[in-house]
Amino acid sequence: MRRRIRNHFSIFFYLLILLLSLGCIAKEEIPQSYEDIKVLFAGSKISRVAPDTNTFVVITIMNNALGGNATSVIVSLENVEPFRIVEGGKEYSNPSERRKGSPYGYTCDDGKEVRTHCMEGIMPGEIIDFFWILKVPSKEEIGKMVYDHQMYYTVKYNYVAKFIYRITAINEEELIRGSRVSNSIIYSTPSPIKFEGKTPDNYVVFSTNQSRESYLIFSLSVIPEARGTVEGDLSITVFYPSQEYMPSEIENWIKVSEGFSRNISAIELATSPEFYLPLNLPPDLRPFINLDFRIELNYTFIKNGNFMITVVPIKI
Amino acid sequence: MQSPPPPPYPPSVEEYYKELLKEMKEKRREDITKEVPDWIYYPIIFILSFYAAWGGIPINYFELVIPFIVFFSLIFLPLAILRGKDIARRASGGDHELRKEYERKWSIGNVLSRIIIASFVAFVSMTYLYPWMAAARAYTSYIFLIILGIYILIFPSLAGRVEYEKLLGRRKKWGIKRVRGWLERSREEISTVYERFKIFFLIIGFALVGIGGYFLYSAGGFSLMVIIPFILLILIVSILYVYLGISDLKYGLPKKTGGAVPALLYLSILLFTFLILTGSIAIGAMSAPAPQVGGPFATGYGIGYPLFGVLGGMIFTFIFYSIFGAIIPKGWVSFFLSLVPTFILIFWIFPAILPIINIQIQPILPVIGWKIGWTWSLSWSLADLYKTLDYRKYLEQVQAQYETLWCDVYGIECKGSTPELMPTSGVRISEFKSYGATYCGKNFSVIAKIENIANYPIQIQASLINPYSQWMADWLTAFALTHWTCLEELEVFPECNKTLVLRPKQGYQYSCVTNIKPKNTEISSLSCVLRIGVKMDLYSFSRLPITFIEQNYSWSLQDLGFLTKSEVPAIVTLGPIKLNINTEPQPIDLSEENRTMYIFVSSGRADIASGEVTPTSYYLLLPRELGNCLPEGDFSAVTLDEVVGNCKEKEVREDINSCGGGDISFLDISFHEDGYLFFKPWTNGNSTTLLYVRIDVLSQSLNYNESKTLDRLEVSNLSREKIEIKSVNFSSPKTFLKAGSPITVRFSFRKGEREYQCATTSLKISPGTYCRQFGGELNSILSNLTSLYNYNLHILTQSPKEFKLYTCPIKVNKTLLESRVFKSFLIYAVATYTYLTYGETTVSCSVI
Repeated sequence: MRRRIRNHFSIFFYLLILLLSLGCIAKEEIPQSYEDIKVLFAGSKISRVAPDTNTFVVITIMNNALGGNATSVIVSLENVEPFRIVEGGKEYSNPSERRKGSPYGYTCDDGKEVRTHCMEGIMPGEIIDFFWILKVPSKEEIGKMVYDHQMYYTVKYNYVAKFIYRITAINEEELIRGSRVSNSIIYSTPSPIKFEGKTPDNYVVFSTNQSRESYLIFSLSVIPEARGTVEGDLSITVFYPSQEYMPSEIENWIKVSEGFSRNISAIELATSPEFYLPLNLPPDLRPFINLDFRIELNYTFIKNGNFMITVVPIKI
Repeated sequence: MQSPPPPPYPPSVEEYYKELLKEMKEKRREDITKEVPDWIYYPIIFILSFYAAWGGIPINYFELVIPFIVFFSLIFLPLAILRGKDIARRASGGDHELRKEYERKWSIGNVLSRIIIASFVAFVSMTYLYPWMAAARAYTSYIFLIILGIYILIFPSLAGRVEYEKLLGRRKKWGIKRVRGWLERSREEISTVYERFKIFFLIIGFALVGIGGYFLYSAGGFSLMVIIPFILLILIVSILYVYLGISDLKYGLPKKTGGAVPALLYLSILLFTFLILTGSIAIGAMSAPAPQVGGPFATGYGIGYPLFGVLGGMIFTFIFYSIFGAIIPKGWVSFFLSLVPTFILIFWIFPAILPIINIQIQPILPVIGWKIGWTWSLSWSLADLYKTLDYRKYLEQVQAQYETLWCDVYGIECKGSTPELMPTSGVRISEFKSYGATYCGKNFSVIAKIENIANYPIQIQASLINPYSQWMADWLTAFALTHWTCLEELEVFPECNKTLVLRPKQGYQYSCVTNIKPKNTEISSLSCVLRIGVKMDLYSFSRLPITFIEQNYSWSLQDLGFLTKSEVPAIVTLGPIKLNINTEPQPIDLSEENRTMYIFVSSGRADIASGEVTPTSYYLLLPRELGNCLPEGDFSAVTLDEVVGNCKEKEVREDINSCGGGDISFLDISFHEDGYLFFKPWTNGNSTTLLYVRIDVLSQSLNYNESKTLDRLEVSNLSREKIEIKSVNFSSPKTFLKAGSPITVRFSFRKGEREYQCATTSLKISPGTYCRQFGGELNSILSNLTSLYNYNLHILTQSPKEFKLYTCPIKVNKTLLESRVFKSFLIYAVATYTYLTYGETTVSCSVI
């Protein structure tokens, strides 16, 4: 009896491990660091559909729990025809705007085309399904032949990504003594924009008895794996650790409280530009000072993707 | 070691000729020391090519070579055993080294290997010569006269030449001293010529015995099919044999002394080549399941098969064999060793691989031969050869094509089906057999199952047809190859022509009575290829999605590596015609500016299809948004009504009632502009048979007067709907008859002992092929696309040709996108054509 129980337990244990390793773990969607918004699924759950029937496509997106709010999230289908969108029991074949709000509860659908759904905001960790009911073309329309249709989609959203870049400045006496320091990003929210910071030479060195100057150097670039582009200008604001470290002005940058700000065009961003921000270092007796620069990127990002729907004429 | 200085120029004429003779002997010795004569490679290549190209010939096919080996052995082995040394002594002219060489060449093993090779040559030659032998049957006496004439010409000429050379020659102007030199050489050659005559006489003797034997046997009814080819073959091969060297006469031929022999031999070889080439064409024409070999010169059945099959196989084996043959030093052991890899490939690998990949060897090997030959002749690249040999991939592609299109689209259950069993058109012919064909001249039945596998009704015309294409029939007639090839023997009764409409999935059991009447009773049996042809009007349909993209968006996506443009293939319905639509790589950029985009429509033959296809028209359907084809293209916009009108209303049908004593009627008579007359014979009495039915069609306004006669016509008393439609094809220029023109039809026939003439009926000529093509399914697709989905219909402004590229330029710009970044349209092309598909069987009967 005991042996039977042990055997059953072994099988149960084995199945549990299998479930955990293959089932749960394999299907868990973990956003990458560059995915502020992740497309979890795009397409139709039914890959082969019959002509002249209704099907639906869904684009499921998730806002990374480690990020901030995504605002004005607009998800659009492209290349819909010869499929037609059905909404509120009506077929739309041409670009048509909604006169009333969304029947599905999307918050800012009003006035948008039927191929577009809009949400004013998505909280971190929130998962939203955007779906459309599609009328499949008739047999005659596809010539009674199997038809593979490539449909495209775009996901557009506003996002604010934040980074904290710590420069550990070193007193020149400490440096002489042989002490060494390093710089690093100590905090970042997920973003498809890559921030890389550095300082001239290896160290930012300050003096005990006189003021010095140095620079914060950083570059921005779009991560290719994010499969998207920045729309319009990206706004960057760099907040200094305190007013005493700020220069009075920086060319091409606008002074804001405790920092500077500027816009970067999408084309400029594509060249992975490098920026130099001057840094005042007043005399200080401390051997080391941690200078935390807070960087905020405010951008509109568009993700692209596609999926396939196959229409199979009904067998006779 | 320093070579001795050259001898001084001989002071006397006598010494000069001695030196000359010495040089000649040395040169001859050099020639003879080649252990394997060059020519020996050619028969080997020829045999292997024949096998590789013809394909699927079982090994026992070569059993027939055994009589040849026996025959030649009987002649030459005793000669080698008993007289070998004597021949060598005489042929060497007293030279010791030459004598040793000759003795070696006349060794038993050497002679035996040559006999085997010569037997193969003889056997293969005989195969090719069969049609000619058959042609010669009617002119036996002339053939014998020619043969005798050749002998008579050869004999005294040679003998005379030897004599006069022995007697100092006729050309006295050369002077006595020069003639003395010739004499020296002639003495050398006389012994060789003597041997040649000896062998030649021997062969002639055998031939004469054979001819005598033929006359004796022919009285007893012995088949000419065996004797004549055999004797002719012996003669031709003996000439070749003697010329090419089994008796070493190759080295003894007096090339500079003139005489009729070289000229005659040359003539014989030319004749032989001609016979083989024309014979191979005839054999190719008769090879029953010849595959449709696509290619620049292949036209239907016939020439593509033998020409590319044999040539391709030849090129292939030549290259393959020469890889091994050329690198091995010449010598008999090396020679046989060199054959090993080629034999392994041809006799082992090919038969071993091909059945595994589920292809019958018979039809595929010529294709392979052709493909390989063609590829090699074009590229000479080993990589291409291997690509060509990737049959499995090729098959997978074919299978995939079937499964995606035929199986998914038309709902045919394809699982487990093999490609060759799948249909390539709307109609499938199966179980085509003959019954009761025991004796030639007696009627026998043929049956076939004809099945409409399309999902729409198809009107078919089934008939027994000539197994040759017209092109081939013309050539066979020109070569007088009409008897043995069954060109004239096969008699087809008019009842074998049947016209009917098959509903979707409907099967029809075709049967008819026919006859094979041999024109020559000297043969004991006759085999004919019977071909059933089913003619129908079909269409091919193809669809291409065109995706447009906003230009700036496209550029940005391309910059980011998200977009790569590619050719999108069109989906084509199955059928013998592959109608393709192409355009630029997609997605296609659109900007504010108008630009011209080209749509290309072209058709090719599907590799897997056989039969005859005649395209009648091409159509192009563009969505309304894309507009119409520009005038500089090959298509012009039409409406569906303009194309088809209302075919139903335009088709004029009339009846002729109360004929032949009042109980015979001809219902639903319609005459179409392509020359087809359709009618339904009906009786209100018992079913009966009318004899000698004559149909006259005349029109005074068109100055047209044609008549056709049917030997028999079955008349049934079924209801109008159930009566089988009869069709008669009046051959007339298509442009001559126009739909709507008046025409008069008159029937006259014999019923029992009496002849009847029916009242004439007048009707208007009905529209032709296109109306039949536009019936049913195609019509519904086109009307749906044009009316429901707003497609613009275009028609090709010229008569379509296969493989030709037709263009439709259209203007496009960003407005097509309707403020979006992507948009797709589906465009369609349609080809209408008449398709004649075949089924084949072979019927053998005994001549009584």
